[in-house]
Amino acid sequence: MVKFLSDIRLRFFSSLYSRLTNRSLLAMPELHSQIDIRNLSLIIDEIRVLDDISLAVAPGEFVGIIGPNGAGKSSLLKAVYGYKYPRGAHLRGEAFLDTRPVNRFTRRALAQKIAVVLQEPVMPFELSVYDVIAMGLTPNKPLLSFITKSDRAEILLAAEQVDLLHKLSQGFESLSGGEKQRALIARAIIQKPDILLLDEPTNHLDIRHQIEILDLVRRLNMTALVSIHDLNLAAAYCDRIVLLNNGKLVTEGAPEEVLTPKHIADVFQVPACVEYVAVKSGESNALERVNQTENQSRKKDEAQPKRQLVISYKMGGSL
Amino acid sequence: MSYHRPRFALYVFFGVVFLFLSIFIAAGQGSIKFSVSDIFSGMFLCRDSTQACVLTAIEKQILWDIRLPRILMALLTGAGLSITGAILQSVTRNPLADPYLFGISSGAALGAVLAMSILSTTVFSVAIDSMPIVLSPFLSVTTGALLGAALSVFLMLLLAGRSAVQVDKLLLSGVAVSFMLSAFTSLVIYYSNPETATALLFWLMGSFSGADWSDLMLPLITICLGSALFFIFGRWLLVMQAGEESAITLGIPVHKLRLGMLILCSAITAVLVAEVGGIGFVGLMIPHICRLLVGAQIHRVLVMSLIVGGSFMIWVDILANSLLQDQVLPVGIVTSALGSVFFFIILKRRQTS
Repeated sequence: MVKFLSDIRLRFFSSLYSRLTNRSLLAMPELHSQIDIRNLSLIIDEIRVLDDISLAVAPGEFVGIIGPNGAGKSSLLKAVYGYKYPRGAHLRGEAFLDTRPVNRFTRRALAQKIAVVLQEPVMPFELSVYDVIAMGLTPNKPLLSFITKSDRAEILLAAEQVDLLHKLSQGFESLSGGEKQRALIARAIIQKPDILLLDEPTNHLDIRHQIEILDLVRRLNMTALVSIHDLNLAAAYCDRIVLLNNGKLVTEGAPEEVLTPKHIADVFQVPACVEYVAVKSGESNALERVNQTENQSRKKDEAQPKRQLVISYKMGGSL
Repeated sequence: MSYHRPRFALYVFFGVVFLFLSIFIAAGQGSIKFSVSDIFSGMFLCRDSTQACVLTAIEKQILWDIRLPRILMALLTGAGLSITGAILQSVTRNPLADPYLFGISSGAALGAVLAMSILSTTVFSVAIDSMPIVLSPFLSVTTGALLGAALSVFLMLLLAGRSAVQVDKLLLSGVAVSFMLSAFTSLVIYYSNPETATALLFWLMGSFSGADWSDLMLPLITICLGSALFFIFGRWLLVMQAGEESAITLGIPVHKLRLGMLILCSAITAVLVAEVGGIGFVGLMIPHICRLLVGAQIHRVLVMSLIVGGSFMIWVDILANSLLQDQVLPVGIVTSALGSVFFFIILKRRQTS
């Protein structure tokens, strides 16, 4: 019943948006942008933060970056979104967006292509959830412009997608950690990017909210590069996993290739046991169903993995 | 959808009504009292001296040449300092930021005090009198204040050095510059002759006395231009409240914007300090009151700051004139005293709610 109502609500907002903008929001944009990182090294105050990393992310791929604290996960994401390091930092190699280095993009042009969800910010002044989501319009609107009806419809639809429609007028700081992350993801949706970067989006969240956030990102069907701590969640959601340690790329590939007991023991210094559990393929949710009907050409399998990789750690065990 | 828009419109409407009411009430206060109808007829019905009027020629002169410029100067000062505070708080994401914290006010005050001190000495007066008329406007209190404010920003950026991109370092160097320039101001006062020192001290505490129509032009132009730019960059300023890195990922040139806003705020503060002296607390307090009323959306905060800041300063001037019999209190004293109590009440209410 709840799913049915959610489906109806989604269809209502989709048709409202279509009427206002003459295009369908649920028809996802064509994915064409790709990331290509070539021999990237970053040295800050003589410490090698990233060491000769090369990585390509294909359009539509959901790539997870895992590794212990200080492995260089956030730095790798920063290199992709063109973070300007202060003096004293030396960046060698380049990150390309399609065929162009990200540093050659203007800030605005890059923001039109890449949306970044950072770890939840603290707002010193009480902004509403609506205000925070509306910030996502910034890269695509001229400085001197007003929020139009279609902009508002987009904000409402994005809020609906992250299930925050009922909290739009509430203060952002009054939201829980998971809701804040969802609001920031809605802001990223409004940005209409080709690529979504998420820096530890599940940090400080309980398991239900962690799953909720990753489910949501997966449903968006964008090219996503996500740094993540939980290996089980990385295995469940990522098409491909990149394992970093001390700024070096240890290995990359499908979850079952990367998340081996040997790699986990080598990198995290924790003995682990990896097994496969059969998971019953559940019914896809409302958004997926609408997506499938509106965008039949997309063949990508959105359902949960049928065989899930499960990692368990040996507490107090020695390597 | 703009949430609470009807409430915002209501606040603006009542704010503007209250502002006009404040102007009328303030114009009636003083040694000669005028009723609202007297003021209305003096202002709108019989401006021309040939028309019959309930006010005598002297009363009209008091109203037009003394009270109205003074009230409008109070309005401009309150409005200007309030929007400056709102912008500085937004670009630094620091609720305590105001022109004083960054040392802008201290720099402007030092420049103005130096200019006043130099201009008051006989040797310089003679030298200035003999100067070509083209040069004389460049040796004014306003110029001194502008140069002082520019010096404070320059010193702040110099002290912050490479760390100027980090807000906390910028703020700390601003505080250091503020103390350093305040020390120089005290030094100038210490070495001035007693009459000049008294005048400088009184001036530093802020006053709207002696404002005339010609004094209003520069603050008016600066505030109008500044407000226009603040509103143009409003969307970016709002995004900056979400954090520096978030703003960068949303395509905003954060460091350039912050520097530009800092320079703009310095110019507004310098012009106001040059005209009315040092008036603290308004730039800190009014934006917070406005946020409590209309939320943190920067456009709303700016509109409300202009209205509430202007009204507040008019009432401060009324109080400064009427608290003591036959004596005018410096505005800065009333602002700080009133502001701190008001602020404390609001904080208490917020805590309980």
